[in-house]
Amino acid sequence: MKRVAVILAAGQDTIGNDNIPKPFVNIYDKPVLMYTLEVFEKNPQVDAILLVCLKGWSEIARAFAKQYNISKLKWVVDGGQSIQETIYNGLRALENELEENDTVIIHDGIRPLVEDSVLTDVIKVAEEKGNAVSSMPNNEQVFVVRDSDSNTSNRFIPRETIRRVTTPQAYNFHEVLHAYEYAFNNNIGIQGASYADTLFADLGKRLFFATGSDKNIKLNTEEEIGIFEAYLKSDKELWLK
Amino acid sequence: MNYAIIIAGGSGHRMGQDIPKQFINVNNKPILLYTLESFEKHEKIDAILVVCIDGWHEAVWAYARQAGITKLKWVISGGETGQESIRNGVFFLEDKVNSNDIVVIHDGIRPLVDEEVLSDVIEVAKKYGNAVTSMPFKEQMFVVSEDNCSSKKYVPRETLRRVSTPQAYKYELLDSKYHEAFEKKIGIYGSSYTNTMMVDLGVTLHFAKGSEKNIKLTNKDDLDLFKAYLKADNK
Repeated sequence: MKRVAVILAAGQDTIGNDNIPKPFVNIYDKPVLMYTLEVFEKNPQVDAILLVCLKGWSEIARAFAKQYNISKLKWVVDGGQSIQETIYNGLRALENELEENDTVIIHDGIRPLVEDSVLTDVIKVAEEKGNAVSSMPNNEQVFVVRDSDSNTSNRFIPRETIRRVTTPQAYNFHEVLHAYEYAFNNNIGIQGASYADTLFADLGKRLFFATGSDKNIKLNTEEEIGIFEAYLKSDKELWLK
Repeated sequence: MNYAIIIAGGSGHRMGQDIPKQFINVNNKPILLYTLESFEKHEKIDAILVVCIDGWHEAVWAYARQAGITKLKWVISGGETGQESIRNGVFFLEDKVNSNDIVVIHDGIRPLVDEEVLSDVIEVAKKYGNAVTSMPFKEQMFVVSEDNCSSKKYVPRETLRRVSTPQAYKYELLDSKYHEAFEKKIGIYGSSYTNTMMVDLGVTLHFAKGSEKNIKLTNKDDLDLFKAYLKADNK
């Protein structure tokens, strides 16, 4: 059985007034995306990597991947107009490469702080249940915005009853490919902020939780880039138990 | 006048340490002191009350003196739960503040509360009687099924906000609602807090600005993140 990572780096957004798309922002001379790819390269459970890349940036991605010895990178394909199209492009490119029971692990290219323990759990749960989404409990109270005045609330959702879901997410290849084919043919669950997880829910499927980590942040702002830099330089405190 | 109640009543068990987490040192300074410094520096805060775990009161006074936290006026004991600790603070102020004064409630282990967030929460509370700092969710929000390990449903994240501290209330409202809650035993159990208690007692809450940075230090990952923020700020 094979496990292929589908890494998404097709977003055109830049940070602030910068001109560089987020996955290609350099941190200590290395693009953010390479830090993410290195995690998958080093994890022995991952067999191969497919990169869905912003159009025009594929060659750069390939060159850097070679430079940093990302030997598992097998395919680089173009992204789409939306995040759902981008995921679908990645899955379709694997159609003749994977067996039905193989697993794909979908992950944002700008989340370089994904830990091995998070990857291990998402793979384990997906191979047991058919899918798995990395998730965290809510440490903060969850309030419902009022329809009549979005600056107020008179209702909350008990925080133990709802979880925050991010990437990595792992899916049985056959099931996720067919879910996307159905979704695009019928125009369901592919708009706006939808993602593989919300699409599954929209199609009435059950999602299974794996253990995520708050450390696994998305690098969307200058401040978050600063945090990532600081993480790279930080040392473990040995006295902490 | 604007008062701050800083909650430092917790023990360190969830973080797996022997030292209560508000007293864990980061760059030679306990976390609680970073929090107190944010309130000391803010021009709209007049006085600070710390609700503290027993046995550590002297340490709070000593650290505060050393760091020049002149607004610290009172250190009192916490309760068995978060809500009891806040109640102790609110009731303690009964003969000390006026009904129209604003009281800001804040977790002692949220050291990165910035000036703008405190200003906004005070301003909104002055206008509407209450204000809670809030942020949109960046992750998808899935409802936990009965089996506790799966989900078939999400809530569109644009319809939700995450609410933490600081929260600010007119003292009259705060005091009367804590009396009502403990008399009727409503909104004081489990993970409830002032905000959820207010809603349980029929109050509509007003959102104030929040900040991504204002994290709660509850585990080792958070501690790493806090250190990362301190380093990033120093650059």
